[in-house]
Amino acid sequence: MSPVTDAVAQSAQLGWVLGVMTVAFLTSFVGWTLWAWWPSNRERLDAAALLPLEESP
Amino acid sequence: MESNWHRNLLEHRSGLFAALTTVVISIGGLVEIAPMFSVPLDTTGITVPTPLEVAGRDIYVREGCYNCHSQMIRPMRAETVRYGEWSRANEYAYDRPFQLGSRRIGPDLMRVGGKYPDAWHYEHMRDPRSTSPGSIMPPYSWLLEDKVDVADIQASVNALRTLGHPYPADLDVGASMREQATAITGRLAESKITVDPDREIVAVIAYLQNLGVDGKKLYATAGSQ
Amino acid sequence: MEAAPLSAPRYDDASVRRFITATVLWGIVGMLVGAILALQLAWAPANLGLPWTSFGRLRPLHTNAVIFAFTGNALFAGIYYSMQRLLKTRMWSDTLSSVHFWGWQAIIVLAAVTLPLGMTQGKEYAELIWPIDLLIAVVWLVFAANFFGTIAIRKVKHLYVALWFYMSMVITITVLHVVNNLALPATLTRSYPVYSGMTDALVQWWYGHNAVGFLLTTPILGLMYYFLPRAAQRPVFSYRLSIIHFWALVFLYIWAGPHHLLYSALPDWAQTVGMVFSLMLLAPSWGGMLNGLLTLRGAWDRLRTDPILKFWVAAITFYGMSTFEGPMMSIRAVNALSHFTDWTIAHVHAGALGWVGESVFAMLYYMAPQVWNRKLHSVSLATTHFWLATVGIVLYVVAMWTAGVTQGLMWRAFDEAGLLQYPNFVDTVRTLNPFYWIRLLGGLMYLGGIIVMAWNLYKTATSDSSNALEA
Repeated sequence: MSPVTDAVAQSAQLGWVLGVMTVAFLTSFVGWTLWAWWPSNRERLDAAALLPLEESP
Repeated sequence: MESNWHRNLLEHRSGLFAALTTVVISIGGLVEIAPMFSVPLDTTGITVPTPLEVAGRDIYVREGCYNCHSQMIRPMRAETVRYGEWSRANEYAYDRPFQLGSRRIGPDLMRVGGKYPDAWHYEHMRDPRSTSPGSIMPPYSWLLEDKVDVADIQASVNALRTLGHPYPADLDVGASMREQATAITGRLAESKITVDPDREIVAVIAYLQNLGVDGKKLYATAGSQ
Repeated sequence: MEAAPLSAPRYDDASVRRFITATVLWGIVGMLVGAILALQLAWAPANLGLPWTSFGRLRPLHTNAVIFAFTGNALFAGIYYSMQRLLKTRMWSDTLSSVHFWGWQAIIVLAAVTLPLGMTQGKEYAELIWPIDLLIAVVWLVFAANFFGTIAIRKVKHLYVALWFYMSMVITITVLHVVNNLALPATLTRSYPVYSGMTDALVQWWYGHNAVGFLLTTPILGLMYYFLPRAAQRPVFSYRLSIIHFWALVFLYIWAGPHHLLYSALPDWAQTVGMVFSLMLLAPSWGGMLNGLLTLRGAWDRLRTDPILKFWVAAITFYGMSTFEGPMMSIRAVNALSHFTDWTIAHVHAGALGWVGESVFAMLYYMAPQVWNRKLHSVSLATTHFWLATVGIVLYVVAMWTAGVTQGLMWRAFDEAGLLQYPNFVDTVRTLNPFYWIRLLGGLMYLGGIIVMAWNLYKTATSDSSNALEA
């Protein structure tokens, strides 16, 4: 259809591309989770949870 | 405030956040849909719907038949025994829009072509319970009165041709419709049903009688059905 | 209600009031058409023999009205209300807010006229004809401009997680709508999709599944993350969990579309990918559910007296149930039985009436007193609504489960001779009739609940200033 879809179509059928994608997605998920639980971010994020309660309605 | 590059990156830059969201929601669709365009579809033996069948299909879509009838026979014994040979991808090559359906309030219609005589469809559309006692299908009696507009179908054929349906350049839409419709009204007349060839019911019968016929020829094997 | 609502004239609550009104009115219309359809399936003469009242033309009206009119307006009401407060700023442009509201209502009216006339694209939940699709694109971009404009002028740096969910809706619905509706017009009212056959089917169910995902799920989760803490008067159980399940949800959701095409002529690998991702989707879905339910820990005693919390608990429970059922139905062996039956209808209504509907009611009962600055007219009527809605859903869903499994089993039943036990399709239809009446009863209870709510909110909005929240 277009060079972009063709390229995606071809690479999506390559085993190693799928393997790399899986690892990349898993890594970003684990990384993001670690980031959220990192002590320095923890406090800030817990504070952010109070945002809806700050304002008078 | 101690500066955190990642914090700035994600939480404070809404533009970047939106871009990242766009990427994340695009991956799955691209990976699944893009290959569909690179799979070659063998259309040998699959006929392009005639103008009258296009008219009938437009009516099928207009009346929302897909809300109650599927056109998708699954490769399971219970399905092939009831409906016939299971559905293949190339059979749908000229389906715009696709009409696989999602709920069988009525039976599957993938291979209804040739299953009943034209007169059965006529009576069934006029009053479904006359041919199928206990059916909950609404009657479609207006199809017996309303006329198909040739200019309208010409527009459809033109659009479909642009999209790649191989209609010959010199195709006379009106003549083709008349010829096929007259054949149907002729058969109906044999069953003592008089109807003008320009009525919508004739187009619907043409469409239904062609459903799954090509696939049946291509894929019917001894023992199924 | 701890503070003075009138302290915030800087917020555009007029738009919120309009969207709330539209939600209630279209909710009644959408559910009423649903009840008519239920009657038609139980008693065919209710099709009336007229083109514009036949099931095939009315069913798209029902689905479009509930998804885009009822839920759509509710989402806009909730988003306009919460985002102004979370960002401590007025909506970017009053003009755009107005164009958005009236544009959206115009689309709904056009849909309500064209669909019964048989003007349709013939793709589920994307039935509206191409000129209306263009209008939808324009109005949606107006909303998007207003949304991102408001974010640009915000007074709170951190984008609270609710806004992440809203943003994913704004972006994803744009992409879905454009790609699925690419078509070549033949006439003013008819067009043909650029895709054909199985490609069209895959694009459609990528759209259909994610319309559920990004219109009926993620934005409502976002709204839950704002309105539930407010109703429970405590922060969300785990903010960290909310931001993690956000990314997991939006990433995984998109892949699950092919589970609508199991055992079809779609390539096998695509079916398998759809099934696997559907199963994985259980994790972030239940992350959201647990986060919602656990937010209520310590507030369970208020459940007895507060209808808003009742609605939230029921909604989140239905969410957990549907998001367990969905992945289960995506397993090939289960899908072989459930597909094409009323089991699917049970599933979508547990989601739409349970999760979406009850969340919307919780939001409306919270927002309406705030934006009209009046105490809720009657808490006991709201509680009545809750029981009507919940019992109605249970009747509906149990009837449709039973009908679905019954019919699925009848279709595949063979006798000792190896022949179909019910070769006449109509026999399997006849069996369902009692369940269709029970479904109608459940639906009517649900509709009755909405009418009770409409009356309650009307009395709230029109009561005199002696009922103001802050005396």
